[in-house]
Amino acid sequence: MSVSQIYESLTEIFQTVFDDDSLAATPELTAGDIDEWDSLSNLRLMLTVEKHFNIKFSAAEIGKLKNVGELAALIEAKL
Amino acid sequence: MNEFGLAFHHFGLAVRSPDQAFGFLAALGYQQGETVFDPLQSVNLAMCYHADMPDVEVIWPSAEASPIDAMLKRRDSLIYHLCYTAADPADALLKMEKAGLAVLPAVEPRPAILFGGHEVSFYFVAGFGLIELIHCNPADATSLKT
Repeated sequence: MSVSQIYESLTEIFQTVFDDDSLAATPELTAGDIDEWDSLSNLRLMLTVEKHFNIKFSAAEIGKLKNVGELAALIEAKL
Repeated sequence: MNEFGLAFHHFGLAVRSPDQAFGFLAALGYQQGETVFDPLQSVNLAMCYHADMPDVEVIWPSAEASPIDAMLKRRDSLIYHLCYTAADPADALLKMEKAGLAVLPAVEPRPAILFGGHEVSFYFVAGFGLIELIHCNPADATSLKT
């Protein structure tokens, strides 16, 4: 799977989790950019990402993520 | 006991400011435990105990940024986790996954000041929410009161 395909999938996931079709997953996107992105919705987001890509995250990996670019890189490393 | 080996321990109530929550709980007959600062999450914590009602852990922000800040941006309070004791957390998680539940590790095991140094860990259960596990035998739960 290419990086652009990962971002396409993440865009769909973000739109579903945050119920906002205008959202686009970009490397710079952070929790501070989306009002509804709190620690609980972040965990729901990560579970959805795990299921979609059929991968597993550790708590430490989730805790270190600073933006969507780091999330995409982590996904790419696990595929 | 149940198929996961979990025993209910407390509700986790996040509040912007604890005074009104403490007042409400006191009027219900709750006894307030000591306030502690959790340096790992940068939050203040106090357990509230009752002889006949479930215990409530009141959690409120400190001067530092914390994981509950964003949750409290659009609301004053929220019960955001349920806590259980588990004598064998790894076995409990394995059984949850075998039961078809999707479980995401949220906070790795670490000693908790509020629970006598017993390790606690957090998990997000799909379709249910955040759970905290205190790594101890349920029979020892009463000794956790501070």
